[in-house]
Amino acid sequence: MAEILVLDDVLDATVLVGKILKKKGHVVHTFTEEDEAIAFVRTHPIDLAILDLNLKKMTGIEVLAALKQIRPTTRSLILTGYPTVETAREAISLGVDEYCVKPIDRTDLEEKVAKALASQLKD
Amino acid sequence: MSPSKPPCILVVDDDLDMLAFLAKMLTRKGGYEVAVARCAEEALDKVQTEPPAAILTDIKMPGMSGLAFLQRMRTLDPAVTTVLMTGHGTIEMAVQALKDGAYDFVEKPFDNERILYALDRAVERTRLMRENARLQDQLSEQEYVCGFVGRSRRLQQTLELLHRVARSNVTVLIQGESGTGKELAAKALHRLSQRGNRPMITVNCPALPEHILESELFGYRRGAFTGADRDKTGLFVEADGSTILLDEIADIPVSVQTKLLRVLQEKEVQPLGQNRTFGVDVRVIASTNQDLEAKIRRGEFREDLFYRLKVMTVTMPSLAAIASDIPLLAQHFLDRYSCEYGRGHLEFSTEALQSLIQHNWPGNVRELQNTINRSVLLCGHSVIEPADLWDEADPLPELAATADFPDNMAAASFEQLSYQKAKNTLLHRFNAAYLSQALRSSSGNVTAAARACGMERQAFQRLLRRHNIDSRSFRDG
Repeated sequence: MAEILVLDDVLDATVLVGKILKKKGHVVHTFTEEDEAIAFVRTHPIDLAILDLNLKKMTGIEVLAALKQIRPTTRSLILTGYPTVETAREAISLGVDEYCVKPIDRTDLEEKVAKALASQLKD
Repeated sequence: MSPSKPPCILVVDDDLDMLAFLAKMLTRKGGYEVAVARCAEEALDKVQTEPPAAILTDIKMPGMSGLAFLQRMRTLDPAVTTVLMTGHGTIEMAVQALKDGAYDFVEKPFDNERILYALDRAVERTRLMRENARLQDQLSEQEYVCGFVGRSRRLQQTLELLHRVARSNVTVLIQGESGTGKELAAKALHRLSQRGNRPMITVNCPALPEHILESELFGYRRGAFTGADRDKTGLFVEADGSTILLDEIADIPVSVQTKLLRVLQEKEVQPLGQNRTFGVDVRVIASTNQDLEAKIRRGEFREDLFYRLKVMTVTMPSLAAIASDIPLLAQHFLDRYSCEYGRGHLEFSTEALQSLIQHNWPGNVRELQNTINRSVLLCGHSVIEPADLWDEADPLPELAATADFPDNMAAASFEQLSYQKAKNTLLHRFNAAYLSQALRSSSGNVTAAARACGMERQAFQRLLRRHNIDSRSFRDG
């Protein structure tokens, strides 16, 4: 069981991902506002962050950078409907575990989350 | 890489037009030298002959793909930085490539600035990686030249002195107890001097009888004495332009001392039976573990020679004087021998390390080295315990009496075997002897025997099975 943060500007998207992960026994914190998500992480260490790229004020890359600065060992996953090589490159250089493209099917998501969390144990 | 020569980029693509375009663009706009390859296999060949500063490769190619090529390069030469390009890239592919260690990923069609920017940074990365590797090499080289392990002040002072003395041509007398590294110090002096690239001549003085020592050192003319059927060049002449180490100089006879004095004073040698003398340019290093001044008082060593030799004296510290270096030295020898014997990862238990530090080492570093060597050979588990280190505290000496113990199976029975076979044979015999002895002492009680050996019962039983030992046969009655 892990503490997972889900950030997407579309509420339904966070609910959907949250449902899938809760069924796996994780504690899920969903956000649609990036500043709220960042503030939450400051006071509440999480194991994994799942981030959308196109947010309201910031980009997912900027949020990722902020999260890594707060707690560098936090695992992370980018989940976007508008993938580009540029953002993939930036995300990887920031240490993202996976860069996934929407729509993602359920088992795929579960697998990638499990893999990211497993690599956390190795550190 | 000289500044005058531009860095070389290797471009790999199966599309000839693309290759031509990139070669032209990188040469004109980037000022690079460009090598091209039409497939990954050809690129691998080129990389071997001339390692490029960076590689720009397509992903989709007939034969080996760009991704596979990237993987090969990472193992072949991790310093070379690779940038991937593709016309039909998917995000998954890009993510995979970047995770696999590609430095950058550019999509066709691309603008020239983007590619040049990526390559500039890639070349810079390669340069830094190579610079780093070179400096690392230099560091280990330096350590190797000296060959000394240790951080204690006393040792560092000695090493500093060696460094300072090395560059001059003065005669050096190295004193120190046996096993403190006198020969190592002499080698370091030689290597660090301008004479370092020529071989150093070492003469082990007490190993040679008086008249042979003399003819070895100074040479002789044909007919100088019975049996001298041809001219012989002496070691001093052989060492011309280099260094000669007179090991254990305290043991040379007085007659040879006189001749030696002449070499040191006049820088010339006179072979036996020869009227002429030869000028030689030899640096003399002498070593001894004896008290030369006491020998002078007893009339066994020439005082004038002593003063000629001790122009510069370096005293090697005993292990007791550098006791703080014992853990470092022990670890060094442990690494070395476990690597040499293919033992994988071995470590000392805290108690073992403690007992090494507390031990009295009359034989100094060499004794420590031999102790570790033996424990690596004989230790059956991955942690070295005090019992593995010492003969005395261990039932091993008793075992030595039994016919199977390693001592008496030295050279003779091993010469014909491969290393692996010899090691296995020895280990098997050792295990059989050791385990049997343990079981005898416990009258076949496995739990008690395991405890006495400092092992878990299960591990002990595993060993018994492996070496076909039946604990029941040791039970009384």
